[in-house]
Amino acid sequence: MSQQSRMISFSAVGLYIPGIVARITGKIFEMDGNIVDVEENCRRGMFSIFLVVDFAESPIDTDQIFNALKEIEKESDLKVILDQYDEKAVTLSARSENHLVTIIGIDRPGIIAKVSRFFHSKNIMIERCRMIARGRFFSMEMVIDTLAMDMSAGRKRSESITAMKKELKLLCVDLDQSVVIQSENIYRRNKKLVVFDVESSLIQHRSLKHFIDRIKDRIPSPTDMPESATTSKDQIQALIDNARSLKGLSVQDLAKLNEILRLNPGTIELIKILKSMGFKIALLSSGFNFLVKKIFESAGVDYAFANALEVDEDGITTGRVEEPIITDETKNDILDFIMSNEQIEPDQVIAVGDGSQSSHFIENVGLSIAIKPEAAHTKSDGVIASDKVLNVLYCLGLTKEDLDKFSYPGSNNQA
Amino acid sequence: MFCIETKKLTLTLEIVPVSSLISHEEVLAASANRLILEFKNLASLQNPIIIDENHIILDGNHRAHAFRALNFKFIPVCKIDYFNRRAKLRYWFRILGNIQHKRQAREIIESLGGILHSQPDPFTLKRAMEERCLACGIQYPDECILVDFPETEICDGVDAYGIIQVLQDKLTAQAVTLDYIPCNAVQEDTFPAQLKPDQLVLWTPQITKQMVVDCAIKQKVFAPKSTRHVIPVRPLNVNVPGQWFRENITLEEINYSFYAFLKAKRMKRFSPGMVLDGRYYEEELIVFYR
Repeated sequence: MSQQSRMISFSAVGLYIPGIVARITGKIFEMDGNIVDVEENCRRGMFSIFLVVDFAESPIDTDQIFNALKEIEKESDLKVILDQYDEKAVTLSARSENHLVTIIGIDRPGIIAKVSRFFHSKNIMIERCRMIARGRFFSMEMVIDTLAMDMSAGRKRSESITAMKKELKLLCVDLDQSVVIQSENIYRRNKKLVVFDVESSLIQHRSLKHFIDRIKDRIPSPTDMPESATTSKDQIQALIDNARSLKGLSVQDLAKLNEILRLNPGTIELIKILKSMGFKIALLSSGFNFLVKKIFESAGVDYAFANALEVDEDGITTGRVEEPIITDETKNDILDFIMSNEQIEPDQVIAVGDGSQSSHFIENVGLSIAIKPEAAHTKSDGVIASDKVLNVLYCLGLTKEDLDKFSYPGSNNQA
Repeated sequence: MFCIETKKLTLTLEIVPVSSLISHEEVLAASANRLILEFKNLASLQNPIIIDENHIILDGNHRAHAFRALNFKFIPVCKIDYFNRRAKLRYWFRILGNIQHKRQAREIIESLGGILHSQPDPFTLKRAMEERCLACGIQYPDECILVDFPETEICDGVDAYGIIQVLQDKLTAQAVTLDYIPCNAVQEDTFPAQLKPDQLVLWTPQITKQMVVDCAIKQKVFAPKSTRHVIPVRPLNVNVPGQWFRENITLEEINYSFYAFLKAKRMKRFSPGMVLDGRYYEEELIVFYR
C-alpha cells in the first residue's frame, strides 16, 4: 500500500456488540488517525458503520494501519471493508441536489423495490433510506440526489424535476401509497407554522354533508343551492353566500348542529403533538367559525379565522355574515398576515389542505400537503391518500416510536 | 389622534397622561405586582387600554396601575363612546369551591344582614337580579337563591360589590377556593351540569353603565373583578415602544409620533369569533402589523 494516500475509508457491518464503536474509534485514535466523516446505524440488532479517517499525522505505515483495522473483523465477527479514499472524489460528491421523499401507506411487498427502480431509471442516487414505521402501516424516508438525473430533452432542469415528482406521485398512487417530496432548500429550513384549511383537511366530509342536510332542514326558507355546489365545501360556501336563509336560527340551534361535525381521526392529537414540537398552529376556513371553534376548544390553536354569523342581542342569527368575509381568495392575505405577525418566511410554513381551489394558498409555502385530494394532480409537495391526518408527522421525520411516545387519553396514534 | 371608524363603534387611538385616568375598580394585588415586574423592562406595550370620554378605564385597569406605580408619564389608549349600545357591561361571577355545607354561606350572609329568597332556576334568578340591580345571587348545583341586603347596608353599586368582597373573604378564610368566571358562561344552558357538589357560584350585582360612571366620577371604587366590559371592536398589536413612556416630551409631541407610528403600519380587520395568539376574541378585531 502506498504511503502517499493517507485517507482511508472504513466500513463494517454485522451483529451489534456492546462497545464496538469505542473499540473501532479507540484503535484509530491509538494510530493517530483523525476521523473526518462518520455514519453509524444500529437497527434491529444489526450494526453498520462508515468512517473516513485521515492518517496524515500518523507515524505508522499505511499497510500496518490496514492490517490493524482488518484485525477488528477477527475480534468482532463484523465484515470490514477498507480502501483508500480519493479526496477529489470527496470534493465531487460533496455537490448534491437533495430531496427528502417520504412514503406512507399500508405495507405491501415491492414498495421499496419499485420506488428504487424508478429512481434508478432516472439516474437518481438514493443517498439515505430509513424505515420510519413498519408493521401493517409502512413509512419510509429517502434522501435522493438528482444532480446526475437524466434531464428530458428541451426541458429546463427545474421542469424535469417537477416532472419527476409528478411521475413519482403517480407511481405512489399505483402502489396505494401517500408521498411527500421536499426539496433540500425547503426541508433543511426549520418550519415554524402549520396552517390547516379546515373543511378540506380536518373535517370528515361525510359529517360535513350530514351537517349541510340538517341545516337545510332547520332553516326557515331552504337555501337555493346553486347547481355548481356539488361538494359539501361548495355548499358551505353557498350557505355563506346565502346567509339570510339562516336567519332565525338560535345560537343554541347552531351549537347542536355543530355537534354533528366530526373531525378526521387523529386531528386533535396531531395539533397537540405539533404544538408540543414547538409549531404554531393556524386554522383557516371560508366556512363558519363554529367549525373552527370546536377544534380550538379541544386542542387550542394559535390562530383561527373563519366567517361569523351575525347574532342579535337575543342570540338569534340575523341572516348576515360579519364582515370582512373570508373567502378562498382572501386566505392568502390572512396567511401573509400570520407570517408577518410571526415574523417568518413562506418556506417556514407547512400548509395542509386538499389542493383544491378552497386551499390554493397551500401552494406558496415551504411544504404543502394535500389530504385526500379530489383532483388526480395537485400542485402540493405531497399527497396523503387517506384521512389519517397524523401521517403529516411522518413528513416531519417523526418515527412510529416517536409517535408512540405521544399518547393522549382517548387517542389512537395508529396512523 | 388616530381614528378608526367601524360600523359598530368609532375607536380613537391616542396617548394620554397616566395621571388623567380614572379607575372604577380596585386591582388584584398579585396580578398588579406581576405586571409591575413585567413592565419594569417594558420593550413595548402591545395593546392600548380602553377608556371612555371621561378617561374612566373600561379595560386595562391593571396595566394602568402598573404604569402609575412605575411613574410612567403617558399611556396609549383607545377611547370609545361607553354608552354606545354595542359596548356591553358584563360581570365577573365567583366560583367558590371546597364548600363544606350550604349553611356555610348562608350563615355569613345572614350575619351581614342579607335576606335569602329561593328561586326555582337560574333563569328566574337572572330575571330577579335584573329587576333589583344591587341584589346578588347564589347558585348551588341544585338550588338558586336571590340575596337582598337592606338599603341601610348598601346604597350603591360600590357598596353592593363591597359586601360581596366581604362574603368571599370570609369564605376563603374558611379554606374555600375562589375563581372568577364570566357571567355569560354561567348563564349558558349547559353550565349547571358542570357545577360540582362542593361548589357554588356567587352571582354579582347587575349594575349599570351609569352607576359605573357615577361612582367613578365620585372616586368611589368597586371591588376587584367587578365589571367585565365587552367592547365590540378591539384594536390589537399596537406595540408602542416602552421608552416613549419614560421620555420627557410633551403630550403633543408624543401624540404626533404616535400618529405617524400607526400610520406606517398595516391594519387588518377580522370579524368576531377569531383566535389570535392563542386567545379567542368574541369581538371584531383591528390588528396592526408591519
